[in-house]
Amino acid sequence: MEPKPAKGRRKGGAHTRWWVYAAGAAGGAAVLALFVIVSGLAGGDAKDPPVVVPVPRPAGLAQEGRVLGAPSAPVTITEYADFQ
Amino acid sequence: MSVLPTLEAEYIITGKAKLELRPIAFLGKNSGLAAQAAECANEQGGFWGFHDVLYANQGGKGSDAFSARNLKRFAEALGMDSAAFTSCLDSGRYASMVVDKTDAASQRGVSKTPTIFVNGTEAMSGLEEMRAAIERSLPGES
Repeated sequence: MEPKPAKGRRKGGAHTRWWVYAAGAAGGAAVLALFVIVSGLAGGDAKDPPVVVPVPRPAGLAQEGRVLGAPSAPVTITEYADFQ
Repeated sequence: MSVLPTLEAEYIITGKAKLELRPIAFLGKNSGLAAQAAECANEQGGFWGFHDVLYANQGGKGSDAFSARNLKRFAEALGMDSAAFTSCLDSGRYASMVVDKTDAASQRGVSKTPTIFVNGTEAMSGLEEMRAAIERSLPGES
């Protein structure tokens, strides 16, 4: 036995679909706008990977220019480094 | 993996050693740009924070990870004065300094990075070799 079509729902179907599509389009536009705003605030665009920011060093650890550690430390480690 | 975090915990935080970093540029244009950017960060007292962000966002030789645009994003992410940083980097005022330091390193025999000296003597860059070199350099050791 075939299921019968729901008469009541079918009558208002076209109107319902129109509102569903309109709401969907408005929602999509809102999401897109929010994404653009957030990207703009972050100074990047969609293809930019997020910047990884490590946990800062302890506040008590001396940092003077390119030297890390107590100036009076008896041993000096000099590292030549290429960041790339 | 870098030995720096271990050395930092064992010797630098404990006050036995200090680390002087000398950025040089062997690996191409963006390598030099990153070294210049670190100097620009240094102007704002943020050399080590920027150093850490560079290592956390490395892309390897020839990558675009250290393009001028990305370096500016790093400074922004660290809360630096973006306008001052951008002005510094765009001016190229540290470009010749980075070249000079790279040349000076080459003259000292540095041909790869990292190259590490402990109290002026070149050390192997493995953790155990570094530990041994530092221990030998501590007062009371010989």
